[in-house]
Amino acid sequence: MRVFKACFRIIWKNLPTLAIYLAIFLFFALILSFSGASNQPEHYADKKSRIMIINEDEGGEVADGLVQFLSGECQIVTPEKEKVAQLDSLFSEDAEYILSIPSGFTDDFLSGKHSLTIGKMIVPNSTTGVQVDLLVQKYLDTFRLYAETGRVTSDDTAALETIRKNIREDLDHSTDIVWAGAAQTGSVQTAAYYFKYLSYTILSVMILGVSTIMRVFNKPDLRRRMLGSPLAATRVNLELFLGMLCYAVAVWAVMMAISLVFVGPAVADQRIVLMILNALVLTVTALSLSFLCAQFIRGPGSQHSVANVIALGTSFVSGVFVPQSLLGDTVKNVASFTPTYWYVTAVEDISTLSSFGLQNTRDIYLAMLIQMAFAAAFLVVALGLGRQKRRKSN
Amino acid sequence: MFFHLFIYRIKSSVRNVQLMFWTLAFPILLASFFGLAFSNLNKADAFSEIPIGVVKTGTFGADSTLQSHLDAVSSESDDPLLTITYYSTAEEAETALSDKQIKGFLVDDADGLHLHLLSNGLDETITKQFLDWYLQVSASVERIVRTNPSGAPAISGILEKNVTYITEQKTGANAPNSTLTYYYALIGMTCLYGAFMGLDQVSCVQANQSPAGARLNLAPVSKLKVFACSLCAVTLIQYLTILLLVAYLSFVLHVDFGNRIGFILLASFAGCCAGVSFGAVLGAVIKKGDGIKSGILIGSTMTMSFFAGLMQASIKYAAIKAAPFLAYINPAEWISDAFYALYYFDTYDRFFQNVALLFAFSFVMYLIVYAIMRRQQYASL
Amino acid sequence: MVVEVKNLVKRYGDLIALDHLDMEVREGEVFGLLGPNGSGKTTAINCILSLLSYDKGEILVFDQPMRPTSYQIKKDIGIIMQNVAVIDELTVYENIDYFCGLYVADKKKRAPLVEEAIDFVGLNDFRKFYPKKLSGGLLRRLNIACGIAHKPRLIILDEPTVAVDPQSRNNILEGIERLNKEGATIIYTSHYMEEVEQICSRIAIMDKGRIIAQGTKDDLKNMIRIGEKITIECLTGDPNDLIDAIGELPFVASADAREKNLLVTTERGHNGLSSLVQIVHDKGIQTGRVYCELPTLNDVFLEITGKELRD
Ligand SMILES: Nc1ncnc2c1ncn2[C@@H]1O[C@H](COP(=O)(O)OP(=O)(O)O)[C@@H](O)[C@H]1O
Ligand SMILES: [Mg+2]
Repeated sequence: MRVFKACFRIIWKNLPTLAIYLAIFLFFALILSFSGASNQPEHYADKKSRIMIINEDEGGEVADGLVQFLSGECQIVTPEKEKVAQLDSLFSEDAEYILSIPSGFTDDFLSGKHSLTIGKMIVPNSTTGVQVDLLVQKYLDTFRLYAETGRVTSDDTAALETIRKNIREDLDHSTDIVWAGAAQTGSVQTAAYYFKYLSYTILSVMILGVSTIMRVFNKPDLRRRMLGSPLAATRVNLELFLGMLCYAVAVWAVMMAISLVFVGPAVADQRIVLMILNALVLTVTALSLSFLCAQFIRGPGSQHSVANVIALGTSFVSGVFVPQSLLGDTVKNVASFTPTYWYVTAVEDISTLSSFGLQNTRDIYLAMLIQMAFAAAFLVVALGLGRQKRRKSN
Repeated sequence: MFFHLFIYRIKSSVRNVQLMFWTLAFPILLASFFGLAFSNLNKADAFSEIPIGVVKTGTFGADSTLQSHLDAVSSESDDPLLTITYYSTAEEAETALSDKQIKGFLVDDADGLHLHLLSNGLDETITKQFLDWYLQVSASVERIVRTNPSGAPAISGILEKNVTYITEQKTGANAPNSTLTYYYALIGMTCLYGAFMGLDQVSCVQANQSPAGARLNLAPVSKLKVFACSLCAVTLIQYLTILLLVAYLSFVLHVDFGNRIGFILLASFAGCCAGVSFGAVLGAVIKKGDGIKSGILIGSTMTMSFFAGLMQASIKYAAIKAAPFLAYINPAEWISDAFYALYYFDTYDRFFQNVALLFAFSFVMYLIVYAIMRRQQYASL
Repeated sequence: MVVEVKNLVKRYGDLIALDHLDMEVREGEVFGLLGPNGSGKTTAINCILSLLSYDKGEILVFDQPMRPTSYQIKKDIGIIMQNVAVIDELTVYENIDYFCGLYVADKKKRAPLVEEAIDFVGLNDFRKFYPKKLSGGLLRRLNIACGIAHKPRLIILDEPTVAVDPQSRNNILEGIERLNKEGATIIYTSHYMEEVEQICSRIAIMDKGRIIAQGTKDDLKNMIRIGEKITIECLTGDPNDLIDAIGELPFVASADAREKNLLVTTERGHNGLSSLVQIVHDKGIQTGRVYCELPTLNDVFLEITGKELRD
């Protein structure tokens, strides 16, 4: 167990560096899951859009009514006078939608000409834009319905008041939602996010950590000394792997401890147990992968490059940062050649799990098995490469 | 002498094949991954119809308005939103839902319309909003029929008429596009990783960090002069790398940078200077331990890139909103913001603010490096 | 005087690495600095070169005070450090050219110097090689070439032969002698006394940051009491019986027995080999091999410090 012990000593010596990696990437996962970054398009329903309204038709019933309605449905941002300031707040997403009502809008609207339109500035393709568009459309369509059927003109203030009241009542109706299966409680939701982002953390910390440790082992003189030792090459590698496994398990334990602290309330749930298991599977897979990567990493320059490409790149195509539902089918097909994809799939399945019979959990275990298969494949390739390199250096 | 040092530094940097390969390959590979992930997001036809179930109970058939409403948006219509499957019992629909054949199903019974959902995603939200609108319009129609029967005949005509209430106005120089944040943050990160080159240059001239550094210190040349030449060389290499990345983003992935090429070149250069100088400071301040040096460098670069929106664009805005000073202390943010300002605004204020911050940062970093490296003697080697 | 060190004190925290060191190196000599590992040789060299700061003392090189910015002085110094200091990404030729370029800016003047240096260390067949592909000995030679290509008047070599095969070692030592013949003053540090004895015209012996003896090698050997070391192999009888009798002889400094051998050191200036052998024969003991060694620098070191030069 000489190599194993040496491995431990190196880990101990590099502890500050390893701790930096773990702390930083864990911090990312926590921030991401709690910052509301999870308000990705996927979950915009719960979020109030921030809009800025520039109303130049103050006093007009239609305009005022619309503003009043939107104030209830959205979060209103203090209007800016200057165009640059408006753009700025749009750009910084302080206001996601800027709506300007031209003066004379109410008269034009009630006359039925509809020649004046409301101006909007938005971020293209944003879901906020679609949502606010829908609200405006709804309100004005309904207003038009009442106004035209009732032949209301712009000086009939009393009638317009009534219409505004009626519309408010009508637009209060909403569909009753019945959650099939287990309701997605907030904590499970947050936990799901935490675990999804954790895949990025796990991959980064493992690749950076393992390559930091392996760099010491790959130093030419140390290599030569180990080669000179009577230990068989495979034995050396296996002992190394075992040493790293300890590191991996430690990393996993820290991450799970943190998860228990932060997504604590949901822990009693069996789903969290599955997620923790899933994370362990990915950690081991990441270890294998890191072992393979370490064969290519020579200096600090390539170290961060490999870690970034693999951890960040696969996270993007596997649905960690961009939800899987928004990825194209081709992308998903490509991504299914990465363990991260199966990890994320499992997390998503777990978070919507309603009962724990084999029927429902089959897919989850399958995803974990696929990850293990990746782990085995990576390890075999890494050991093979290691042996080849050794032969070459002899 | 300058030329001698400069050329040899370029030679020795470029010949480090593994480092050069990764320096070039890593941002390009990452950018390609981004491109893959966003390929669907930016496609107009990204939206696909939502599979929804409807349970045909007794009351449902009777309500023909809901049926016609559903028909209006189902597959056969011009503008399909939903693919509707009909079920005769709620149990069947339930099974289909848990098998994920449908996203949700609709039951219309005595006490109203119920939407059964499994999760809380975009598709589900759209479905709900569609149904909400149906309920709301129904309420209005019902009220008019009740209170103003004379207007009733006009109703369907009014509802069918399509009125445009909103027109989109031009925003800045180009339309805002949040996926750009990722690419710009990627450029920021790549610039900052140039820090590794700065780091190397310090250890190459510091006698207490490398034997070659010791030799340089004994030559009849100021090591600061050698250092300055090395920095020029690696900044040039880094600059070319960044330009290659920008070219790849622009020509292969069609990432929009606006069209003010001169300023794009300037922003790239400012970013490179900041990155290299950042590494130089780390190298000068931390004397020993390659592991801890790269640990700190990678850690801080990733943190800065994270707050510039590399992993999640919304973090950039959320962070600046929560703590506005973050915009003024994060070089990765300055770099990505300079590109964004160039793309988005007609004016140059913001762009120059960022570029000025970058140059000022490099300047301060080099002042610190100078203060540390000016000492020509070492207390120990 | 090429180098003059007066009263030099250097501390690393509590450790006194150089303890009031005085040293002089004269024009045209090969000056050897001999001392065990950790005695302060490298520290002394680094202080002379103004690379290390020191706590006290004065250093003159070419009769001028040495400062980090004394570029005029540095131009005339060539240094071969203890650690190989070359750039991995440059070839043999480029490495020499690069470092030489720091001293000789003019490319036309430099080219012949670089050629000469390559010839000098015999790396002609390897000029396109990268340092990683060179064996330890060749790498050391490259290291030397990088230090001497600009034809310095003073060359300092800090243990240039550590971990080098005997062939390269001889090549290096011969080279140093050649450089000296061409007019360069040499400072050579080592913990191998054989090397120092072989090439140095003057030697300083260091221990614990101090110079404990200095002079030509004969001077040094004259400093100590012992003259010769005589070993007599006794084929019959016990050499222990002889110790007392021999120890009383006037010219004998010490007598000892080790297994079958009788070890005798004589006082300087006396030659008692024949009388010793006579005494042994008189006791009826048959002798096998008999041999006689002159004292080495190790004996000098041993006598002054009470410990061996090499551990
Ligand atoms: N950077 C340092 N910090 C602390 N002690 C040092 C340092 N460098 C050398 N020493 C100590 O100073 C003494 C002299 O070292 P050195 O000059 O390298 O000896 P030599 O070259 O003769 O082998 C030794 O005891 C060594 O341990
Ligand atoms: Mg030494």
